[in-house]
Amino acid sequence: MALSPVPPPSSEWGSANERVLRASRSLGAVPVAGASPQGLQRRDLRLDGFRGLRLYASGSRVAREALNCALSLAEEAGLPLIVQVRLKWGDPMGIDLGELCSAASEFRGVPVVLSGVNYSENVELATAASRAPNICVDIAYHQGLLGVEFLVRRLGSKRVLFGTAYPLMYPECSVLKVLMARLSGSERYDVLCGNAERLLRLG
Amino acid sequence: MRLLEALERVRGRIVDVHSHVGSDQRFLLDGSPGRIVQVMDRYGIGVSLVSSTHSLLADFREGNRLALEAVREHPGRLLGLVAVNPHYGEEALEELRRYVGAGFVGVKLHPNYFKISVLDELTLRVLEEAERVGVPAMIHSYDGGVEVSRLAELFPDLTIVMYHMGGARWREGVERVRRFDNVYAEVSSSVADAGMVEAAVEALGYERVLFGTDMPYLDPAVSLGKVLGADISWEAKEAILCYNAEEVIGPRLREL
Repeated sequence: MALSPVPPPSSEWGSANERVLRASRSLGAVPVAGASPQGLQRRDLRLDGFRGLRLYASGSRVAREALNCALSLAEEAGLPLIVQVRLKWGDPMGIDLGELCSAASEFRGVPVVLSGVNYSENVELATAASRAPNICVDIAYHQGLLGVEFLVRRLGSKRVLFGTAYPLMYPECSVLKVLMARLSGSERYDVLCGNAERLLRLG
Repeated sequence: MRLLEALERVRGRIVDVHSHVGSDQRFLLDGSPGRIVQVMDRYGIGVSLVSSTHSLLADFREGNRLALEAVREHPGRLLGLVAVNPHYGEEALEELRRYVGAGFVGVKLHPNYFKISVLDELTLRVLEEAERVGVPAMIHSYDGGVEVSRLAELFPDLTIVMYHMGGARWREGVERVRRFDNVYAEVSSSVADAGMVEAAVEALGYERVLFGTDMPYLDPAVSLGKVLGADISWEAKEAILCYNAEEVIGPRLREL
């Protein structure tokens, strides 16, 4: 299980990330640092001990500079960048997926995981597949009909990751999406664990 | 009980009160009737109540014709909901009567798509007609149940299904309709916030909570995950998935 903080008030990201580190140790989870676009620009983020960086890009518009900053931080630290484009249902996405693809394509060594995308972004996701091969997708918020099969066919099974958004959402939804999808054994393995193991350098 | 084991226990008996036939190319979604029935089989859904996406996106009359065709192609699996655009006045009422006469089991209203309030005089006429011919009104609700609760006050004898439980404002949605016994909450939507089904059951009693999928927009895994993952009794889960729809649709379900 990869663990990130629920976004805290703006001044408390440091302590929220510390709590994630501690909780990950006691739970045997994989710690992922959280950051707001504003926090990234202060460049005071500590990434020691984390296996990934999650940028919360939900609600308010994220500038290209902040994206570039997140990508370059992830590149320096050798971590995947998880971009949370939607957190609370009903909030607007803070990021234009075309712009994100364009930024990601300039940092091809950084795996970029889109988290929070839904079926309403299917067309953009299909386009992203060819524009930025380092873009992957987490299925937690993708609620569309046969969405896991759609993503695997369009992006390839190596670029689709299992996620639940637990404890914010019912994890059973994501479990059923994958178990009921018509996938080969190796595709299902990639989605459920293989890809996360590779990107987060587990095991 | 494990998730797949639980799903197996209700296989073939699940009633989906909110689905569509027809595709939506804006999102690359295929909702042909054959595909919908295929997905129903995969998840063990016995019956789905369908309107046509064509009714929402292009022409409600053509959409109803397509829904009727789908229902006839898949007898016993699909039941029709007649979708009407209240702006068409008498023509909308005539459409409602015609399709209820042909066996459709409810009227579907999507005020956002038709750019009309459910409290508009034209919509009220549609609802009066639904009440007169004895079918429930299925109403898209993403406003925290504001409009549905006003309607419930105006139409105490009309059965109203609040699709999506009020949307992202589901907590307000179920609280607003708590006191109206004629209102049922249907659980589908992209929103899968932990605790939402428990809140609906607490506010309304499990007898007034209905299972729906909103295919082809949403995968049935979403609503099934919410209900099967909820911290409620098995009796409540089984009622929501399999039995409560009969209270709304009536004996048509037993005849299938």
